[in-house]
Amino acid sequence: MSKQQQEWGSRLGVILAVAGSAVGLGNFLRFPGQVAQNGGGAFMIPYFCALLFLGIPIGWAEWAMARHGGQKGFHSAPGVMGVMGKGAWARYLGVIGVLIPLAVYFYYVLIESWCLGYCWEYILALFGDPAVGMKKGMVMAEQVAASKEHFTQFTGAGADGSLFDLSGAAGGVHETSLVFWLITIAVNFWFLWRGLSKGIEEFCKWAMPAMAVAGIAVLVRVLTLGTPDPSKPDQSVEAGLAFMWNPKYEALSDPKTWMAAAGQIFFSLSVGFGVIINYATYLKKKDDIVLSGLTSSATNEFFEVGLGGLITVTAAFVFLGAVGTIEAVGTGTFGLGFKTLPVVFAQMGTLGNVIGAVWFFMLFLAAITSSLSMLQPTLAFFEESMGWSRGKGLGVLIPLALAGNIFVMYYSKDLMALDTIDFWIGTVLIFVMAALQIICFSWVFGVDKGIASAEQGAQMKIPAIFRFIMKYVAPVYLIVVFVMFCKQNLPDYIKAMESNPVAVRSLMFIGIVIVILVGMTAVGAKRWRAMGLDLDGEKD
Amino acid sequence: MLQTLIHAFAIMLPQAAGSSPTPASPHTLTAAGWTFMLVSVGGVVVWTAWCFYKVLTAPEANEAPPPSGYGP
Repeated sequence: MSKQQQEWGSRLGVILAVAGSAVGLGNFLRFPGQVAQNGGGAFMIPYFCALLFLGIPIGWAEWAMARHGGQKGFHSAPGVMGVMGKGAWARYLGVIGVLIPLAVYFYYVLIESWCLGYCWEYILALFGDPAVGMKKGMVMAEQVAASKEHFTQFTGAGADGSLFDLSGAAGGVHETSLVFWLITIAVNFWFLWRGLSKGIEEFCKWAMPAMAVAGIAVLVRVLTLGTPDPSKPDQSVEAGLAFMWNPKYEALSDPKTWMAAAGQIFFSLSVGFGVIINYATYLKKKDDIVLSGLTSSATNEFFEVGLGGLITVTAAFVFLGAVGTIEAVGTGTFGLGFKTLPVVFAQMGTLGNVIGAVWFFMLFLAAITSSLSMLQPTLAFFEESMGWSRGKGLGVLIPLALAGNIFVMYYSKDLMALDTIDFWIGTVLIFVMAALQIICFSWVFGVDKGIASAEQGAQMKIPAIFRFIMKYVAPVYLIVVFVMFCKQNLPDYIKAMESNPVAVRSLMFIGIVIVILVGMTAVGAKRWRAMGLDLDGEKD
Repeated sequence: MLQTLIHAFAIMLPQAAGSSPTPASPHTLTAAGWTFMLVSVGGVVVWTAWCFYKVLTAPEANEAPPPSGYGP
């Protein structure tokens, strides 16, 4: 058994690691689409309400729970939840906190590899290669078609198993995609192997500033585009910003706007994702967590509102106009990011290849700082439930993660496996985990005791109003949003389950993973009891 | 009740922002558009800067790391 103790090297390191986990593709691609579709500038009212009443309080609760559990020797969601929920029920439900990051990793690392692959293709385009399938001399309609076709080939979205067709039928795109997947997972496992401080923390400490620099560089270019085509004076930077930010107040009377805002804040901040509940367990008793939690949220908002809110839709509008942008926003995160933006970059000439390379490198950094955070909670759980060393834990985790990757890569038609896991695990279960956390914190452990615990070593106090928010507002807000979300989305996904065998197989695969994790939790509980740990929080 | 409040809020806001109830040209950033953009973007930039200032100027806790439950 290993006695290797993981710990953070510095407070800045843990803040950047948590922020890196939260900042992802959604900040740059999903957020602007949500703003444009839900009332423009007016969307920011429900958005900031959700930040204040949902994101920040649940985030503080998660940080506090994790540090408290960490002081008792637990570094995984089942261990921490057992302490905070005071019993086996919470411990077993805590398995969700290990499942979410692991299952999301199954597909997220593929998206990450697409970003790296696209970045590389833009670098090659500087030397004359066609940029992501778009040859020189193509008119815009041909570029749109070529960009879509390239994305389909690169992701294997055309047919199940097509990514493994290495006959060269797709002009080497499948091979390129697989090579970048291998590079991406190798980089992920390398940093994970190096550990918390020397791996994840060190990487995030340079990756986060690099991401900010890349984002600001792209922002400056976008904001200085002016009116590139004088024959289309309506397609200017100001018109793009107007499209994005001019408020449409009538959207505020639509409950969907409020739900969209809450959903965006919720998923963007990664609360209930199972990462903070692992990362913050390595903090010391007198480490500040109130300001740290607030700073990681602020960093996420900087990337989301400050960069995502100004770049994507504005750039699309300048070259595609209102109709093209509305269509692009409607295609969702992947459509906007991987099909539309390459067409936008193509309109910028040679400089577009530089901007494309910088943009996809920034997305790759956003993705890798998130994916690194997804494996650490599972690895910590393997180590502490089974008493394994980090090496042995990785020896089990790597094949499991690869099996998940290959499953999603194989069932790639219409990205069905990816979409199914994203919905049931990466969306529905996050709501469940966050609700469990805030209920355990405020109602089982006790909100007064919880806030007192959070304020140990804190540089700032949690404002008194948050006592009420954490106990009543956040749980009710969360449950209302969850019920509305289910009402709106569940019927379609249940229908898909009936008609698509891949969706069923995806959930069966996840079911097997759940059985393994529950079994490990049972073994862990026996070990922890034998070690004399306070696994049911009886000494609190 | 909630619906009524939301409706009231939606009606009050354009007046509060001083904007005309008739929509401006879709290609021009209105005063309200500027306000929402600058307050949102400026707000998160100032908030982030303040947080990092506080973090970077505060002393770090000097104590032992938390215990491990990995095994004896």
